[in-house]
Amino acid sequence: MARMSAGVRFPIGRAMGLACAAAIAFVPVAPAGAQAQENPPVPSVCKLGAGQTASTCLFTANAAGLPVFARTEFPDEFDVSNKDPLNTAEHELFHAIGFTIQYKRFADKLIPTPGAGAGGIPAGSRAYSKDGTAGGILMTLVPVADATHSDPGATGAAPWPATGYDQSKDIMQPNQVVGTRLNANDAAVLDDAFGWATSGIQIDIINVGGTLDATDLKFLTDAVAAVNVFYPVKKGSPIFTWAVAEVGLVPETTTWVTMVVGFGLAGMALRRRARIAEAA
Amino acid sequence: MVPVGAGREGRLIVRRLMLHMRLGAYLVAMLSGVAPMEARGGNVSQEAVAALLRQANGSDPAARLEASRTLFRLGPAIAPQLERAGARPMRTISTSRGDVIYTLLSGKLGLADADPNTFGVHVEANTSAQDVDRMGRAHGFSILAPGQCRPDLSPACYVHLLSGKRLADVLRDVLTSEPRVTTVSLNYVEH
Repeated sequence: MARMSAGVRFPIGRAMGLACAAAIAFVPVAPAGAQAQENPPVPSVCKLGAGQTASTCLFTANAAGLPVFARTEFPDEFDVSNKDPLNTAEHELFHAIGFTIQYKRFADKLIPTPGAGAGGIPAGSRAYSKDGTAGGILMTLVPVADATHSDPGATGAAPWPATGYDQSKDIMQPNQVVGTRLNANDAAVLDDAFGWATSGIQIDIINVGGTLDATDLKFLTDAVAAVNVFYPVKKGSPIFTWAVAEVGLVPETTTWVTMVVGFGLAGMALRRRARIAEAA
Repeated sequence: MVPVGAGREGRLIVRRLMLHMRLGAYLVAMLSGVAPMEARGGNVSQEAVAALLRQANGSDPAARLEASRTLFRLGPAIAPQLERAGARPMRTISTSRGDVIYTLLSGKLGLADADPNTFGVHVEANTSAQDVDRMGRAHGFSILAPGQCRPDLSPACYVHLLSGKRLADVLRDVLTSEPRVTTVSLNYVEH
């Protein structure tokens, strides 16, 4: 046993050292492997950071204020790393086709949530109201600093506005709740803002790069199908182009430092263990 | 020993020289649009600022450009007056030119929910992707996806800043020198 340890000591220690050197020398590298070389992840323009499930940006509207284009970025191999890829795909697609304060027709319908700042309702909380009144509220949103998301604390009963909708399982809340899907309450919001239920919406997916494979794309087409359940494609439906990509993430400096230190410590521990075994 | 008379004359010359230098510095600052903007902004009436804001948001490209230049020249001191005239921090992809000017002058360009290296360009109907490309060469940006550049969309194009360029500076440059640009917007992000 001691001999075996002595035999593998050097290669492992050297490998650790080489790994450390490689990590330091080639910080922003693309993932290794033939597939990554053929189809490298594209750079992010949607500020997709480490730990985020996806990010949507480049919101574009037509002259009538209807969403016509947006781009969603997923981290590399999102179908593997994500606990519920379809949830993420539906959430981001819903942002893309209108669930965002960046589209004026959505933003114009926001009112301060009645009772905000008291009774457990966050200060700065906003609500989407179809007619500007408390009675017309379709969804209670988090304050603006958390972008455009439904408030998971809103129960639909007092002290919250009496919508009757318990948002604790809503798909548009800020943090992923595995298993949640788009529902009629979500659909009612965008129908009010853009008339999607009346006009329908044709969503064309374009893969703008990166390593999205067939499995990833299946989740995305399933998300489109989920939207079309509420807004079926009709003759003359407005066309929305959903650009999708898997992007390469450049880990933050602290992540690299932690990794390099970790490799170093692991190498030292292995050498020490081998030395002790050799002495024994 | 310096004669008393010569000393007085010398002091007078120095004082005149300093006065000329101060006037010269002021003139340079006025022309380059840098230093005593606050002082000038304070002298502008509320009505004048409101009129400039209306012109900046108007449909006449030349008047829009001139009003924007004047507002930037007046500087951060007029931000409260702009606010009283109805200007607000820029939001949504359909933000007005006046709101962008107010945002830049008041230092409220928040990038927490936007990408600092890209922005949207909104243009007049007769503007082509080549025109936007030319603007980019002049101000330091390039079109993100040339095939998706359409003047009827809001924004018409998203563009990417070239290395070393600062978003606030480029937005100001574009708004004060490109008559075909109606407004600009940020590349907002949702997660």
